[in-house]
Amino acid sequence: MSGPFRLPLIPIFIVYTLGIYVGHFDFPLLPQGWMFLLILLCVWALSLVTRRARMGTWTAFSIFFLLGIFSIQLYLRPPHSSSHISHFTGLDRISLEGIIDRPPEYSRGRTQLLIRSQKVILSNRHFPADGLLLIFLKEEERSPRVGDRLRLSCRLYPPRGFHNPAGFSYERHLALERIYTVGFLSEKKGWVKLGEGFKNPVILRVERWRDRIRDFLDRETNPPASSIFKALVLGEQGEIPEEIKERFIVTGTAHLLAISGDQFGIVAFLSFSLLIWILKRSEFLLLSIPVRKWAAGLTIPCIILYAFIAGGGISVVRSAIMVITFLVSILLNRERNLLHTLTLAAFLILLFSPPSLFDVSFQLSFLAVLSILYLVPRILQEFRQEGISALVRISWKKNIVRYIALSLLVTAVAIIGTAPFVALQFNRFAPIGFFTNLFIVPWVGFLIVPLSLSASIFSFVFTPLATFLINVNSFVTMMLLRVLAFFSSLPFASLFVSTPTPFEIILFYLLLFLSVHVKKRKAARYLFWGICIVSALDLAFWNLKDSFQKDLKLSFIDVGQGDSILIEFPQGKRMLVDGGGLYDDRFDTGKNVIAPFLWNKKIRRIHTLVLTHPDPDHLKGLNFIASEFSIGQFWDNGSRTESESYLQLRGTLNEKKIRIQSLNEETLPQTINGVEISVLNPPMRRVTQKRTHNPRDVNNASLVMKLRFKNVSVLLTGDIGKEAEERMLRRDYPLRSDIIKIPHHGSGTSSSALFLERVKPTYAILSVGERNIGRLPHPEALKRYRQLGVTLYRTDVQGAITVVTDGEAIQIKTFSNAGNRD
Amino acid sequence: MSIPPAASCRRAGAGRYKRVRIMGLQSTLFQFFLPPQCPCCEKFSEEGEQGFCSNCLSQIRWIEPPFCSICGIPFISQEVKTHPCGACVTHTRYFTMARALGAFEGSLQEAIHRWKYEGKTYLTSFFAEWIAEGLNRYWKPGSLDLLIPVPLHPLRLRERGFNQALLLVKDLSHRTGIPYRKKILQKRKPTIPQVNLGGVEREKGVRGTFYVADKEELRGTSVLLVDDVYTTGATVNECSKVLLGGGAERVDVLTLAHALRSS
Repeated sequence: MSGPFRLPLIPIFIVYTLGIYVGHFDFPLLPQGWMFLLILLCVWALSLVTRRARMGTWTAFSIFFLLGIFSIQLYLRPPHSSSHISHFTGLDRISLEGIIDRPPEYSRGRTQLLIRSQKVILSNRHFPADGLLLIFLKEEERSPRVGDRLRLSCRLYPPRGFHNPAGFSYERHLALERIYTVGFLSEKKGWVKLGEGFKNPVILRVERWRDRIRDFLDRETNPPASSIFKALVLGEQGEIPEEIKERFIVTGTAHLLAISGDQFGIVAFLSFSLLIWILKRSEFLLLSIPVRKWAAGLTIPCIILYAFIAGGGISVVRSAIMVITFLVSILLNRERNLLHTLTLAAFLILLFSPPSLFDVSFQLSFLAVLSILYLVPRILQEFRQEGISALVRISWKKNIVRYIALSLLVTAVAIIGTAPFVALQFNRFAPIGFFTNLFIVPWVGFLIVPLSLSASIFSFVFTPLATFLINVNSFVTMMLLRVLAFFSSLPFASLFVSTPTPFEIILFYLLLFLSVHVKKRKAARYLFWGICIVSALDLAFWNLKDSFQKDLKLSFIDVGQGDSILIEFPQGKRMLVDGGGLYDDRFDTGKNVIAPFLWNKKIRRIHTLVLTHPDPDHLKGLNFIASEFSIGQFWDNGSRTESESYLQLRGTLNEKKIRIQSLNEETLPQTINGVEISVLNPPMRRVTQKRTHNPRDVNNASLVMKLRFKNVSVLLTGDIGKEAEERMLRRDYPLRSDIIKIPHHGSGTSSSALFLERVKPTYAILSVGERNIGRLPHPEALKRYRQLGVTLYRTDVQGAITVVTDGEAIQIKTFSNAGNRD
Repeated sequence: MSIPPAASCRRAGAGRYKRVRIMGLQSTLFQFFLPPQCPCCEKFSEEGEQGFCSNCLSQIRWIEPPFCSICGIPFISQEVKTHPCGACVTHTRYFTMARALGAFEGSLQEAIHRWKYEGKTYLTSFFAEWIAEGLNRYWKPGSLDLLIPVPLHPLRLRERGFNQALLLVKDLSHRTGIPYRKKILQKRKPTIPQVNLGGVEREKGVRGTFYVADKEELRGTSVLLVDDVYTTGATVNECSKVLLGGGAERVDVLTLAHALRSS
């Protein structure tokens, strides 16, 4: 390696980053680790004194590697004090006092308060408490402000997300923000304000400014434009309607909504240009001061001000560090190697906040800038003919062509450079972004951002001008939204893609790195083609993998309260039974849990989509799967409802011309790749015409399927209750199965003793959510399984449960080992 | 022509620019976070190296005697003695003597372009160090009263953001203690950039574009006019004429580089 890689900062940065990455895996670290670090520091000092360069280098590497591990472990396995708020979880309702730590966040009618706890009152006794916790209010509560001291009556829990392999870990996400406890108010108005102003006066003052700007924006503009302004100025994204956000995502321009590196880059560029323009007006200044440096120096306070106005959140601080590092390098005359400066910025950010490494906005900003700085000059070198461009006066026409070509190149490089991580985090790739970013970035960056910022600033000094500016801005923004609506409606604007494996991501970046060296170096050429071949092999592996699979595999996905079972047949056919779903619209299990689970297994096609009965906790998640995956056929139990999500599902299926088959006990058994599927319920009644709305009837009409693979059989029972169980007993079906999916999430009115005796399962799998409304499972039902000596697995405790069988032996794996006691 | 002893040449670079070399934590941190680079080719400096890297330095052709006693152009033959060149005999030169540090080619040309056109003003201190050395070599201490930069027209100044000659003069004045005046000599009309013009056109182009704003201060002084590049001498000659007309007793010229007519 040549150039900057010889320098100490870059290898140290890489080693430190590697340490953070390694440290985030859950592995036991000796408590003596700190001692080890201390010893290494001594060795390093010794090597410095004795001038042993090689020893010094290696110990420095080990120190930073360990430092990386420790710094992230501090977040993931924090040494809590005995009074930490996380010790109060799991109790019944408690009273809690604390101070609001950051501005409340609102989304979909809910409020999130981050509270720094002070004390807990438990049956009239006061306990000191510390640590952060996140409180959820079920309504939009506008009055709480930063620095307010509240008393809340709530229940505390450790956070819990969905526990699926390679799925998003909500617990880790919160832990990286030092939040280990969440709380829910026990009644609607379960809080009182005890006082206000308990926070650093500077922050409080800035908060009042933010309040004024927010009021101004609310007063003068209407949604959805106002929500965009709030996102750009105040960093509050929560109010942007989901469909508007989707427009940005689909057109590959969502990076403009989050306050991140590019926002700050634009603001820095604008204020730098403005300042330099102002300073250059004066000949006196031009002759007496270096205006470029002064402009750079004066931009720093602007950036700091913007960081404050934007809420001072971690991603804001991070972007500010990035930009300020570049500005300081200009001040110190070290602006020459931008790649090195970028590394310095990233290193400072990771020293300041190690969890940033796992933050999408950090990853994408860093990768975008890195690929632009590394690739663009090297690509330009290939095309460069003239020596020193500044000397040659070219016509403005040529200039425009050059400008467009350069923006096209920069956009393309940034998109390609970030593509693997966008795919990793969002499972998306937006080809239209190559085009849309060309004009939407300047549209937002040079029009909407400066207009909203200047309007916000003028709202303090000269309201009429501010009003005028923001009205112009509203118009500009509404135009933008319309343009985005058009582009997002185009077919193939954006595609959903499978999750790339780490190996594939490494291959991709190696190819990208080598592609600019291929022309000059022979070794690079051989390596390039070698990696191309490896990539092709990787592709072939994933495509052929299924055909060689010999086992039957069932995955009971953790979708919270609800059912969702992925069945992978031998030689690769797949069936998805139900899709989970919440009763309210806050969260789409299909989009956020099941689809990532499938994409992670590189599954793009579901041969049979099954809906056992149209209850929300089985139905809702299927909508996204039906519309975004390739579906072979659709099975249901023949029930119909009028619910919105059901009609939507039918609409999608009709639109995609997918064959719908309603099954009942009369349906002949089918065999898919050696697995026999027989339908035992519902009965051959004309349920379609009955239109029952009695929930018990709906549940009893659930599709019951028995899968038999050689000597192993599995009974999937939907939400049936006693009535259906008794009916199947009466019909004398061969119920005997090795594995049963416990009916109706373990309700008391199902899993009757007689039924269980006939099924005689060895293993039972319970798919249920923690703290669900129905308070399922019923202890009586579980008792009946225990009495029969059945081994019980539950998704609320163990996360996703995977059953693998070759037709003889059965293997069951769970996401976590917690609670294997059952 | 008297050349001061080498000792004073060495002294020129000393002073505040040595601060970076202070050993200890400060420089180690600096080395780690923002390591020094060659200001010309941007390669990171080798250990112990400072400023221009050895490769770039080796590409600079320093102007050594014999050269023209008036315009300072080096003679190709090493045999001849210092004497006025042909061009200086046929043309009127208003300045007494012009000297330049290096030939305007190779890495020096590259560096000057980066400095002027790409706004890398951090190069100033490196250039000033050299030019101070030249000043000490060719002029007796105390023989110069004022340093004056070749001015830029305000429009050009605004476009570029700085006057490169003034940057040099400021730094030079700091190193030598000779006072400088940035407003005495001014430009009245903008000229088209000189880079792509030939000698005659240049002479015509600059005629009457400079004027002296403050004759009082100029009276009876010995002035050193400083510019970055001496190409045909048209600009500095016109400046010298105006300065002499404004009351200066003697005008000398010092530039960073001399564009050799043959190249």
